[in-house]
Amino acid sequence: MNNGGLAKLVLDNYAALRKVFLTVLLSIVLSVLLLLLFTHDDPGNVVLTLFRGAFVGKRNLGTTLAASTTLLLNAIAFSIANRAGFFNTGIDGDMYMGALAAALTGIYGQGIPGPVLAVLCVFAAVIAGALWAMIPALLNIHLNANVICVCIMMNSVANYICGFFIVGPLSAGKTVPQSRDVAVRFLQIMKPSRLNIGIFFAIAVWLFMIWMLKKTTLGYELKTIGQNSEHARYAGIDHKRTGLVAMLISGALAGFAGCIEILGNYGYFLNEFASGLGSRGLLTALIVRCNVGLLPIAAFFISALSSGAITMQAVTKVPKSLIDSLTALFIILATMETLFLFERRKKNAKEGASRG
Amino acid sequence: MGNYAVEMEGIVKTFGPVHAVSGASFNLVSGEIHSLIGENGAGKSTMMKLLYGIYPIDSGTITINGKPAAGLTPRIAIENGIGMVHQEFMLVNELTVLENIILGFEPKKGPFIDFAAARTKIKEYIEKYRMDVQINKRINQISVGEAQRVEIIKILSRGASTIILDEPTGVLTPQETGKLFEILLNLKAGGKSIIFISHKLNEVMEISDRITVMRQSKVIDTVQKKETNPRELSTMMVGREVFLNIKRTHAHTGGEVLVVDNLWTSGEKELSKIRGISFDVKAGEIVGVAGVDGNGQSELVEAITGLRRVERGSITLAGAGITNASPRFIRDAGLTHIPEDRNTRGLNRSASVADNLIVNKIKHSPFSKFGFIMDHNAVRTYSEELIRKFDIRPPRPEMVTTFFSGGNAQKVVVAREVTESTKLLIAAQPTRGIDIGAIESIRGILQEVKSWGIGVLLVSVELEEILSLADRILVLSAGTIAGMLPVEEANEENLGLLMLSGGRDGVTV
Repeated sequence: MNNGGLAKLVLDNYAALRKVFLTVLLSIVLSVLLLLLFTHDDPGNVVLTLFRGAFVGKRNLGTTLAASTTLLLNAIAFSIANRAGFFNTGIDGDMYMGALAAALTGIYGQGIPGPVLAVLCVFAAVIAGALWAMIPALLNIHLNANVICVCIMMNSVANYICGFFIVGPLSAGKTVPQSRDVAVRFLQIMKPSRLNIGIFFAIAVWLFMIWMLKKTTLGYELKTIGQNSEHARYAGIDHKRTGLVAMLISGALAGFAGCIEILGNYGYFLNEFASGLGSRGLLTALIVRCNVGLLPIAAFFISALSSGAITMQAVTKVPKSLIDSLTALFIILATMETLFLFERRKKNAKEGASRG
Repeated sequence: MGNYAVEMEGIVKTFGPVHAVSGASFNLVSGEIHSLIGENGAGKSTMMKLLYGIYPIDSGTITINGKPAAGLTPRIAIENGIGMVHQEFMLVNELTVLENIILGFEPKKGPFIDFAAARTKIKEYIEKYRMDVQINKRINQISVGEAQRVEIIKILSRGASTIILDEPTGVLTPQETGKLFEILLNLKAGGKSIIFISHKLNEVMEISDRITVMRQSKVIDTVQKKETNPRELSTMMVGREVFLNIKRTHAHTGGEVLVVDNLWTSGEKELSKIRGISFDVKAGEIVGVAGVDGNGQSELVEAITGLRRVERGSITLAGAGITNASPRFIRDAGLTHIPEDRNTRGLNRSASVADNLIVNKIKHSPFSKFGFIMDHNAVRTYSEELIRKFDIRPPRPEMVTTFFSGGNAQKVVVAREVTESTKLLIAAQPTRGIDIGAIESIRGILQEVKSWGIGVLLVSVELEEILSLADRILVLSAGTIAGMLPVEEANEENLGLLMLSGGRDGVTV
């Protein structure tokens, strides 16, 4: 993207960007107040520690970025489905199935040359995630099953399927339920953190999806069926097929995130390694109202909070649960749709008045 | 006279840069039915909302029953005997008619609601004005016309002596409109004063005592009904002469573009809504489908356009079988469709004008390459051209259509669906709820389409529209064809008889 394009992106999203920053600011102020109320630590020190834990040093910054990587992919996955009108609560399951497929391929593919095996792992993960997401999509499209319910149920199923493999055929035989090591890893950058080249893949996927949504007929169709599926049907857009494609893309991206976790972050499948990572992707997307352009900022911020919290817990007496509460507080603030959208509220008042 | 229920003098109201009402005056004589007419956006609804106290006035005076009323709010307006039936009903669907009427004003007996007293009081209104309302039914079980009567009773029970009806007939069938007019006359006989907002001239000429015309936020004139005629009124409304009854051009018919053979489909509630219909449309002619709303018109159009399953029979479009084909396939075979439901089907109200204009052709050149990568410049150029050609306002392709007026919204739909490359155009209620200027231009467009050699199936509940445009008229009644006549033999009477025949002794001419 050239500079003009970037400037335009910023300008178009000015209100949304400002909202994100003001929300961050407000949540920091509220956090400090909470810290003052509930702990005896110096809040300045706590915030500083949190900041250091998230950004300072290769390990800390790398951990934050590694967490952002999968979070970004999951948030994109949710946003794409949401664009077409599906509230995909099944990102967790899609990601687990992708991770399992990557682990199976990576473990049983021993002997295949590294780069080839890595590509195979990615393919397996993407396909597994897409197929898993296809189930609720088909049930919804053809039998009108509720996507949210089916997805939540299927998350548990996916988790148990993974559990079976991890303690069964793939078990490493350790006390910790984890699989044997995969035979290929993504290139690590910024050691000793777990950050790997997966982050570049995620950014590439992000750019591709922005392009897809803005510049292709598929992006147009996704938007149209999401906004008004009856209109789409009338105009000759195959809303069933397009909706299915959206869910397939969503599942594929979550599956890819699972693959990055296995090949990049861990090198093996740790049972329940990512519980909640999918729903955190959903929250991340909702914070910026599924505005794909802003997802990296939101993903980075949420990841920074959680990785900073780990250090903070170790250094100060503030428990990590407090940070989790603060994250929740931030999310609640961020999902208040009209908060900090000054012009819109004024405009709405005016439009409400001038109708009729 | 001096016996005014309402007097509004020099009223001014602006919303930001928009002048909604500029210096308008209006008065209502006690016991009269006074129509307020004008195109969409002329300021008639705003004027009445000012009287009802929904918005404060910027300047001017309002006098109610001889008393100056400053600082009006809906509460004060109600206390002064003003009641308003809004376009969208303010009723709770899950409650009964009775509960809705007394909501917020329940008669009490100790801590309990005195339902018996409420029932007696409401029955009085029902009998006095012959309302025909079932007070124990829930709102979602009754028809739109009945819900409207519930609104009127609600207002009366709050003590209204002046009743404002904001476009009450827009949602009604002709029969229900007739019933409403009887009630309005009963109310008038009972001493109530009525303000009737509309843009349908035939209704206004039927019901009013006096008529006030607004145009572009100003009152043009107030006239006695007896001293005016629809032509004069429409000229005042639009500011120039309007020709709704365009001279029909001779049809140069070609081969059959649509053949419907023994078609059966089901409706939402009825198993066989369309029962064995056969007809055809030839190239270069307009076939009108007349009938009382709800006699199968919607289902017929949906079956042809692929939006509803055909149970039995066949449909052929320009030689291609399209029975139960996908909407995409049918469109590719040469059909375009102006749907009756403009807001959910015809338009994506969350999207821009440009997006709405190309939704049926995004996969075609030049709007996309390989049917996949969109060319936004081509979309923009094309949209600008259509906006100019069809006079869509505001003329900006990127403008979101959410707040577009009925007429402009319909122009977007028409602009998208009317193309020379089509073989059959289905226009379902193309002028419903839009202003007179837009009606004129859309009727003109349908005439033009015919001259291009395209077959048109025009479905309308406005007999006058069908009589002035169609070459052949097909009357639907209870899902069957009650009759098919060339326009030369048709008139309001024989069509009306066929419409009411119930399809029992249907004859095909």
